[in-house]
Amino acid sequence: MTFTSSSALAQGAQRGTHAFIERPALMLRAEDVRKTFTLHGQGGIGIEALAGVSLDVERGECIVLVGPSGAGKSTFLRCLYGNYLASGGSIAIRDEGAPLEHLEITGAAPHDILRLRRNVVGYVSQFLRVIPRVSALDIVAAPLVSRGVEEDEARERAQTLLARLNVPRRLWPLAPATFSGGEQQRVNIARGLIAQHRVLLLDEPTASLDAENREVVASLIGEARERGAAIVGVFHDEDTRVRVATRVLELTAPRTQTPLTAAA
Amino acid sequence: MNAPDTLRTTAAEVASHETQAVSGYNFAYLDEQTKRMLRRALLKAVAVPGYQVPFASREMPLPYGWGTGGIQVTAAIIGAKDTLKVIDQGSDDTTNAVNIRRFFARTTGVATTRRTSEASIVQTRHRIPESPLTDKQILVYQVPMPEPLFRLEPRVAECKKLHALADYGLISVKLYEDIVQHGSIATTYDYPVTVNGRYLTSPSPIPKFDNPKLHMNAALQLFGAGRERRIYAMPPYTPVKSLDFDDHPFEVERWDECCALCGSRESFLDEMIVDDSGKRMFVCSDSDYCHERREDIDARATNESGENA
Amino acid sequence: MTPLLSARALTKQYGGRNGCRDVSFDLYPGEVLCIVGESGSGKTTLLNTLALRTEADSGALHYTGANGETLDLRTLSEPRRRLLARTEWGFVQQNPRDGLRAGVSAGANIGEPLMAVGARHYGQIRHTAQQWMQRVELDAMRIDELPSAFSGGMQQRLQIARNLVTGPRLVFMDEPTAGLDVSVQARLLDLLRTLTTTLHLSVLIVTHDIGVARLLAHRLMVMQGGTVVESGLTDQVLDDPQHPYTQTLVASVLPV
Repeated sequence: MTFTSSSALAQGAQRGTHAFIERPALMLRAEDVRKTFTLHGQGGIGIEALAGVSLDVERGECIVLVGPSGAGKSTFLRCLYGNYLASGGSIAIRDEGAPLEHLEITGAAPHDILRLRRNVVGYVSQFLRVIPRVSALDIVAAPLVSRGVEEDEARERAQTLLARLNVPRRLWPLAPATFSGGEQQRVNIARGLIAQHRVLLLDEPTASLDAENREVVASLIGEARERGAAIVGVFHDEDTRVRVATRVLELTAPRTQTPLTAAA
Repeated sequence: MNAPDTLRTTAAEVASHETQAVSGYNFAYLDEQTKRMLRRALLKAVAVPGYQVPFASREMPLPYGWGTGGIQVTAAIIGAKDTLKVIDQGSDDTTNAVNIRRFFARTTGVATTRRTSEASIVQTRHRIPESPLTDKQILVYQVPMPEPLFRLEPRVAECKKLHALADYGLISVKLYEDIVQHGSIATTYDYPVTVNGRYLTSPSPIPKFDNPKLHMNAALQLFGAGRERRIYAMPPYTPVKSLDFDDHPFEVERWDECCALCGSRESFLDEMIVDDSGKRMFVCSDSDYCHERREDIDARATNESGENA
Repeated sequence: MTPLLSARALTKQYGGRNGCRDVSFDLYPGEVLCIVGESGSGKTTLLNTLALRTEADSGALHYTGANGETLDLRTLSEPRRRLLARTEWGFVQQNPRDGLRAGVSAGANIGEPLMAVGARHYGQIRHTAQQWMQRVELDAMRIDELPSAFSGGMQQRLQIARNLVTGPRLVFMDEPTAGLDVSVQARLLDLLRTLTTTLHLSVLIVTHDIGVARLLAHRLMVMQGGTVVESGLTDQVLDDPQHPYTQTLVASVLPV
């Protein structure tokens, strides 16, 4: 048994859609996305996390996913990013220059997904994965550097963004391991937003933030939308949701099984 | 080494058969098949300058390490009409030089000489004669260790590959380390050279002073290593370059003194301690060269005094 | 875009078993691929086969050089293989002593690959060696010391400098952090991460340590019993493992 991301399950999705050509504003199309986790260590028990979610996102839209805990909101975001392998359905993201102007994430070669992540899709996860010894400034500058931006310019832009998110200047040269939850989260957000990706996936970006900083994040999201970004996000607090959403998608927990834990 | 000689030979004695050829030996000691094998190896060596050709080194009547390689090469090329000179560190009079010369005289009956200019074959250990050679002459070197990478890469198979692929970074590393440790390249003899722009070669333990003479030499230069069983060659007029760095170029030794006997400032000088109080004397290493210069000086002095008289 | 290195059904076995079997993947410029597995999984055999240190039994292996030419690595002549190893590839050994010359100075170790491809200016070679020592966070004043004067972690960094000085496009690493103290490991991984991104290197790393993979690699291949049981983006394989063995592996990582 070999599992690769370019496995047979993708072959069904190879047919390709013309939607991205017909609708120039379409940035992301998810069709009937299903996700089941198979836990081999527990006798092969299957946990259905998504039971068929479909979503079209256009430029300038901010879709907020709502639903009870365990409904699969985080799971869905991760599937969109390629962090989780969808078990069924298809996910396509606009990829300029590609055949039919899009890339099917489901079944794409890792190489192509990496390219898309670098150039098109940004992701703000719930938790900052801390790399030892790297300063907050360098963490935030990294997405620009990997795109080829000069280190000095990347650092400058990182500084601007960190300042805007009220991360104290004295913390910039430090590794975030010792930061508070809220400070780490703001570094995370800065890193996710700095490259101005055209598709943004935000997983609880305001969870540990106070009202002032939630407002900053909301403005940043608003600016991204104005720039034409297509955004899909999960927000726990009502205020931010109201501020940023252009549309709401409700997810319900799959009927077939009660998940043991939120599979995020 | 040049001993200040008490044996001034006259012109008549210079070219002589030291003994008659002894019967019961094939010409030049080796059988004809062996000479043929050696000549094939020599042809190959000449065809690929600097490349070490393996050969079936024979047991000679002297042990390995005493010049058997050079002797086998000379035995393969010497003919009845040749005139042979043998030197050891520049001197015709050391035990080795005398014995080898006598060996060939006995087994070939060929003429021998101490005069570089009169020899058609010069066999040498560790020096090149000061007088320039002509395209009618052959210089045969005795080589102890033909492999220039020997100390750096002890694996023989790997060494062969390095030569085959011209993968010579290693020798540069050695020279680099020399400069690190000593401020300059520390090798003073057996200084590695590149022959014909291709093979890294050991010129035998000649002092680096002699390296420039290898380059574009009119004579055929043949190298024989008996114990290691390798023959190599530098055909006449072959470019031979001593290794160096662009900013640490190759340099030869220089002396403040001149030769105490002939006054030469151009030749390689040996330093000798002449008494118990440590008094030093510098003398030409090449005995024939020194001898000739002294003859010239005497001749001119005689002419002058003749004129004055 | 052509892959830098391309393997199809690559197999190398010892007496019909062990080794690696039927491995296929493409590696692109600038990608770091980690091969993860426990001892006996075949990962080191795979690495050595890819780096042409061992001859494959079957399969295809292609490399696209700096000049755009695609080479069939399995039929490459020895001289070309050695030239490739000297100019476009690097190989970092697990034990730095295997990848360094013990008898010559740090500067000579770093300078040797340059001299091997024709560098002839002592001053420049030395200067380049000093720059590289700084890059790998070694004290450039120690350029004339022997490798034995450096600690294990420093020797490993010295080995990395020696491998990177010629500007290779593809670097193979065999457990580069094994045997090092945790803090030293962290420093080395940090260095590798920075170098791989700034130099746009493609790297193939073999390791048994998932943490190393998480930190350094874009892609991951999990090996068990000689075959690749799972492969994909690092974050995907570690966050959403599909294969039973991968799930066990991920679950076994000790939490900090």
